[in-house]
Amino acid sequence: MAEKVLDVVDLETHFISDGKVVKAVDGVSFHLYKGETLGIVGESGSGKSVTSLSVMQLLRNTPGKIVGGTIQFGTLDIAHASDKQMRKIRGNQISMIFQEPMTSLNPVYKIGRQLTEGIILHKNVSKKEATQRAQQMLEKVGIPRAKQILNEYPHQLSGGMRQRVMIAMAMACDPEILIADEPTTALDVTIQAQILELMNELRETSQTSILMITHDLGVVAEMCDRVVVMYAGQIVEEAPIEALFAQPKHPYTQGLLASIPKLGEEVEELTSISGTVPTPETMPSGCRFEPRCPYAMARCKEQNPVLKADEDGRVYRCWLQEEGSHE
Amino acid sequence: MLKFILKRILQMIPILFVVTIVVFLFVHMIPGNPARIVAGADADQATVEMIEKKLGLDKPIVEQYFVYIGNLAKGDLGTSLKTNEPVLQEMKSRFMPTFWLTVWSMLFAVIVGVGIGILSAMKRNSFWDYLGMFGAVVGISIPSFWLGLLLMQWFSVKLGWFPTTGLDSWQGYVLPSITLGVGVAAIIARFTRSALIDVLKEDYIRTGRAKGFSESKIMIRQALKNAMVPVVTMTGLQFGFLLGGSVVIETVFGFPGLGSWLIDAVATRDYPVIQAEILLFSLEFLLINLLVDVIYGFLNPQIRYDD
Repeated sequence: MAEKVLDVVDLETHFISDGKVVKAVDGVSFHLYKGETLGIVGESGSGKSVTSLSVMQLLRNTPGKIVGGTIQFGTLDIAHASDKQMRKIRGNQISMIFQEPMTSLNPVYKIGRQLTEGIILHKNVSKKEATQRAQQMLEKVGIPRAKQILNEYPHQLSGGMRQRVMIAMAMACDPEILIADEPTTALDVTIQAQILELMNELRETSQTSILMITHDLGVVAEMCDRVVVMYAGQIVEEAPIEALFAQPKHPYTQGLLASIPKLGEEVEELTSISGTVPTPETMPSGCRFEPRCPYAMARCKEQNPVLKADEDGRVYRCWLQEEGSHE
Repeated sequence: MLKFILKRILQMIPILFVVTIVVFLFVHMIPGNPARIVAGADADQATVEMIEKKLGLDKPIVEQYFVYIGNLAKGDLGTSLKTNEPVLQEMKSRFMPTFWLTVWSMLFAVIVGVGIGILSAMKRNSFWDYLGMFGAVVGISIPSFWLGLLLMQWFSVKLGWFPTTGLDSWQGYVLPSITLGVGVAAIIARFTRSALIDVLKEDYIRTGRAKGFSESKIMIRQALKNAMVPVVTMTGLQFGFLLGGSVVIETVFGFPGLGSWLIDAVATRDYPVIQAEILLFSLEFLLINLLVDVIYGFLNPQIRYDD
C-alpha cells in the first residue's frame, strides 16, 4: 500500500464574495494510497466538500479559487493544471459521485446515453462497444434488467437506483480515484447499507482508491482505512480507523464520537458539542476549536497549534500534545 | 400520442363554433354598411336596398348567422362582397405567401436568437454578453415599420439587391422576413439566455463537468435541451401571431399576404372575408398550441400524453 496516487500539500482554497475572502480550505495536506479508502469527516462548513471539488478542479463557475498548495496526481499538479489537462482526467482517471442522486442525472436524456457519453469521450470506442460496457457496468452495480434500464429516463428510477447508476457512470472508465461526496446522505438507511457494500466490492475488484467525504461516522467505520477530521477549513486529526475509534486524540474528534448514541445505553439527553462552527467573522485567532473546547487553556486563545505527531505517532492539532495526556 | 392528438383535434370543433358566433356578432357590429360601400357613395337609397337584399343583409341577424354556419358546414366560406369571388379561393392564394414569410422569419429568429442566447449565457457578464443583450433590447424596441423602411433604403434602393415591394421571386421574401424576425429573435435571445443560466446551476451540469466535458459541450449536449421548454412556448406564440399576417410589414412591403387582405376587408366591410380570416387565425393558434404541446413531450420525457 505504499504507492501514493494523490498527494495534497498545503492546499488553500478561498472564496471571494463582495470583496471578502473566506478561507474555506486553509492549508490542508493529505495523501491517498492505491486501493485505500480515506475518509474526510467534518460538519457542514468544515471545508470537506470544497477540498474534494478542488481535487477535481470543479470550482469553476463558483466564487472559489485554489490560491496555494499542490495537488500531485501522478506527474501532474492538479492545482496548476490547465482546463484541457483536467478534462482528460475528470471522469476518466478521477471520477466523482455526488450527494444528490435525484438531481445529478440529466432528466431529458436516457440512462444509456448518459452512461455511454463518458465512455465514448475518454475511451475512444464505438457506440456499440460503449453500450456493451454500459450494460456491463449496470449489471456490476446490481441493477436488474440492465438492458431495459439503458432505455429509460432518470425519473423512472428510485433514488437508490439512481445512485447505483451514478456509481456505474463514475466507475465506467476504471478510474484510479473515486471521490464520493456524501454518497449515501440522501438515501434511506437500508439503501445506504447496500450502496456502501457495493462501493466496498467495487474497490476490492478494481483497486480504485476512494476519497470518502462524509459527516457520518457510521459510514466511516463501515468504509475507511484512514480518516482525516476537518474543522473550520483545517485538518485537526488524522488517524487509522481503529485508532480513531478506540482512542480519539483531538477534543473535537472526542466530541464527535461522544455524540453518537450507543445501542442498549439509556440516556436522558444526547451528548452534543456545545456552540457552533465559527463563521469567517468570528474565526478565533488562536485554536479554531478553542471556543467550544472543554480543555481550552490560555495558550489556545493566542496561538493556533500545528498538526503534528506525538510520541506515539498519533497526528493531531492540539496544545495538549505538549502538556501531556489529557485523558 | 396519436390518441392524444386526435382528442385535441376533436376538442377544437366546439371552440371554433364559439369563435364563429363571437366573430359574426362583432363583424356585424362594425359601423358602416357594406351595401352602401358596394353601391358607391353616389348611389340612391333604392339601389342600396336592392344590393342589401341581394347580399341577404336585409334578413334578421340570427337568420343570417344560420345561413352562414350552414354554408360553413358545407365548406363554403361565402363570396367576397367586394370582388364577388369565392373567399376560399382568394384565401388559398393569400395564405401561402404569409405562411412562407412566417416560416422564413421564424427560422431567422430561432437561429439568430438561440445563437445569441447561447453565446451570452456562456460568456456571462462579459463584453459579448452585454453586446448581445444590448442588441436584444434594440431589437425589441425598434419599430418594425421603421426597420423595414431602413432595410429597404439600404438593400433595395442603394444596393439594389432585393425588390422594394411585391413578391415576384424569392428575393421578395428576404427583407420582410428579416424585418419580422429581428423582434422575435431578440425575445428568443433573452429567453434562451435566462433559461440556460438557470439550467447551468443544476446538479446534472456539475455531473457533466465531472465527466470531463468541455464548457461548449456542456452547453450543447447537456444544457440546451433542458432550456428549450420556455423557448419553444415563446416561439409557438410568436409563430401564431406572425401566421395571422403582419398587417404593418405586409403594408410596408406591399406583400400580398393575409395581413394586407384583412386591412382591405375591414376597410370595405367585406364581412365574409373578415369572418373567414379570423376563423383561420383561430384554427392556426389551436394547431400551433397542439404542436407546442407535442414538442414538449419530445423535450421533456416527464411530460407524456398517454391518454
